[in-house]
Amino acid sequence: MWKIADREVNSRLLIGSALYPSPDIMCKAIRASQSDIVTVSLRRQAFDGAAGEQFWNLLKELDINILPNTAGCHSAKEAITTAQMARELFNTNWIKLEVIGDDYSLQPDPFALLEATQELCVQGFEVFPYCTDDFVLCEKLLAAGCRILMPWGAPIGTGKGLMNPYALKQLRQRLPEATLIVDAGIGAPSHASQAMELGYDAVLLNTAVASANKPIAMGEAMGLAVQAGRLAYEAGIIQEQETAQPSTPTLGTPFWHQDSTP
Amino acid sequence: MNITLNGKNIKITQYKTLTDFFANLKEENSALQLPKQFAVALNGNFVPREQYDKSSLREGDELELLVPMQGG
Repeated sequence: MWKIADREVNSRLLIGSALYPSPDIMCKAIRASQSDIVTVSLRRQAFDGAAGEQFWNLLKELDINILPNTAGCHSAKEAITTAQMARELFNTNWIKLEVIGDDYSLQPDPFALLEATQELCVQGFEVFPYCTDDFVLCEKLLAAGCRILMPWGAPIGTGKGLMNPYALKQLRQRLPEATLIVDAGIGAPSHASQAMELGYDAVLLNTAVASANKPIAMGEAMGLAVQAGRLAYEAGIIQEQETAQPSTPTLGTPFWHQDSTP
Repeated sequence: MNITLNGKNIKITQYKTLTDFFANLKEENSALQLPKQFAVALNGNFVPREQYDKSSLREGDELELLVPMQGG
């Protein structure tokens, strides 16, 4: 068990609910991942159906923590309004705060993100800001009241993995008290494991599972990768060396080896 | 009067409150059913459920009615 904001959960994987081939596969993949937290969104009610209600029923069946997002917002005002609507709709003060500044890369707008964070923290939200790995921004988000930061690994949906491990490592070292979650850009389980090996508290991903050939199997793989990465971090990874070091003891080496030694 | 509901222009009867409008949504716009779970924004501002009785619609208002949806 570990604590995220004010709740205790088992899994260190947060998973998205979008892009799956079917609602049934979505549920099975999320269960296979063993994630305790699923991200969701809000959209206009379609004029020709009851998709929102069907999705709501699936969420109830899953019975895990819900993390609504503000995806698609481009200003602090839009994000704040969406967060307020999400709080009422999903009955949670958790909000994954996304304020997009560049539609090409889906890079967060750091200025609008900070502005929205400041207001939402005052209003009692637990803000999970989707941010870049910029240290100054992260520090300001913490000062605004965040306990959790979610820097990107790579642009959303690219599956490129950790584009700047150095910056992510620096954040971990310099912000030891913050809950740090790599959000976005994960493609392979090794990427998720790498983030956990850096000491990140959790990983949030969606496309890597939902768009895999076999989303259910990939959900399980990601869950295991996050566990492995965390275990490795806690176990203590060895320091890299520039020269080879024999792993087999040299003491008691047979005589014919000694003969060949110059 | 005319309002915009989820980006679509519709002509509706004048209602005193949002509660009245929602109660008659099916008659006003048969294509859109009132979902069981939804949240409302009026002209870009969130309207809490308990305010529906105190909020009225005016000509040209932009009403957004959002429901739970998949997200990453």
